[in-house]
Amino acid sequence: MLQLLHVTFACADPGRVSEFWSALLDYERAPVGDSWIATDPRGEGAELFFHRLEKSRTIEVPIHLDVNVPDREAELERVLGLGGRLVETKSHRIGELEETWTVMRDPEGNGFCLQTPPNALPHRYVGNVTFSCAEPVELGRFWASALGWPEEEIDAEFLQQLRDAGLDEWELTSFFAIRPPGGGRPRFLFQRREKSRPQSYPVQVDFRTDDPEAELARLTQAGASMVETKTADERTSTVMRDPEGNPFRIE
Amino acid sequence: MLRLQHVTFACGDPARVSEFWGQLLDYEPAAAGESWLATDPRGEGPTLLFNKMAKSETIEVPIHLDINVPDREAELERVLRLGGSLVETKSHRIGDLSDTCTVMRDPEGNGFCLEGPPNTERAHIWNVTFACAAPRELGGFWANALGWPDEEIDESILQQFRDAGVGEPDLSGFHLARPPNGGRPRFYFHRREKSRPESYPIHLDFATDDREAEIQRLSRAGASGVETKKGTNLTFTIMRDPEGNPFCVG
Repeated sequence: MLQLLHVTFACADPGRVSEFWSALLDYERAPVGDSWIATDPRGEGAELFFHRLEKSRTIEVPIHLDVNVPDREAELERVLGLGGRLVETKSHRIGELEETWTVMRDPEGNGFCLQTPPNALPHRYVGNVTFSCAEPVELGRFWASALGWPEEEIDAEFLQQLRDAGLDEWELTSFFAIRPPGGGRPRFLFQRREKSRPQSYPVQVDFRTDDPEAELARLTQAGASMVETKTADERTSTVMRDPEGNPFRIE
Repeated sequence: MLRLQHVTFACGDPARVSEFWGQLLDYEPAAAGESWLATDPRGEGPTLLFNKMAKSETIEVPIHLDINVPDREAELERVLRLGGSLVETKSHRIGDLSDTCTVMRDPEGNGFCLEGPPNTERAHIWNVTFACAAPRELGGFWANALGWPDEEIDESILQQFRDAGVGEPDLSGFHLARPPNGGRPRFYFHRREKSRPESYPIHLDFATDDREAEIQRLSRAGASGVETKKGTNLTFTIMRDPEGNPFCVG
């Protein structure tokens, strides 16, 4: 199985971007050579890694983070003070169901969302790693299998509410979420959205595993493809692509 | 100059789709061979053409229609009864500016938006909206193609966006081209990733007085010609705009 190692940001200025995200999430950061790493002092949240790396320009990033905060409106102002930018606050409503979130950008333009879900914890944390994709249910199942996470059933009552509001069956397959056993965070969220297909991803996800070779074979069978294996500083890592082409690294 | 002749829908079942749009817009549908036309009996809105044609599957359509209606919530219910389906009702807010639209699909899955601005008397097509990479550049191309005025960018709106914390690339993320004298539909351009289907579900057909001269003018402006088709009483050229959206010049 894969375990989430970190979410990696390709940066022009890793120091600046790591400073922003550490302040945003109340993380602690430390330099690692040319790179920076930001970790959750509570030992709960996903680690973030900031590399000096090329990244392609994108219109819609393939992978972004949803940050859960206790008070979205207050957080918006705080994030502007940290050097972030506003894109817009969006609400969507389907029948009686309603959600609001604020789309922002970090100092290098990476989009992310701020949200305050009803069950949000009383501190700031990465709630979701969100993938834009063509087939959310299929891609979600691939990742559940890769991570050894349970396959989520979408609540039948929730689906019926969507149907009653006028959604057709195809629309009901436009999102999917998986989460670590025991309700940990972050979840992986999959939504049907067109995405840019950049040569170099601005944000991607890295994993560790006990047996890279066995994992490689297992994931390839599940629909992933292998890009390359690299050894640097005595660490070997393999870059793969998931069934929709998103690169990820395992070591 | 180009004049918008039709908005053309590639359909599996042109009769069914034209019936839906005819009822949605209070247009009159009529068969034209295997195709259907729906025209505004008031002679105001653009004509819609429904052709039996292949279309590729898309996630985000490159071109869609925004429909203004007197009462968006009531219209949502009516559209569901006509055979449409709901995607979601969306609101966007930036500082004190906000707007709300309901995204729906016609019976063949073509997305469109319903908006209910004040003082709307009846349903009409307000915008032809393009998802694109460079809204100002593409908007400038189309204003020039149609002989519409260059739009001034509303500095007071941009200032409100800046005051709310919006920066680039989002400040240049949208552009509007309008026919002279408040005509419609307007062409709206926003920065969105889009699908790049082999066959577009919706494209635009234009008429012009001198097709050859117009093709040359548009090619110099950044369009490219794909092919010219000659029918018994109609010759038209398929072109692509600078971002690859196909359109026909007849």
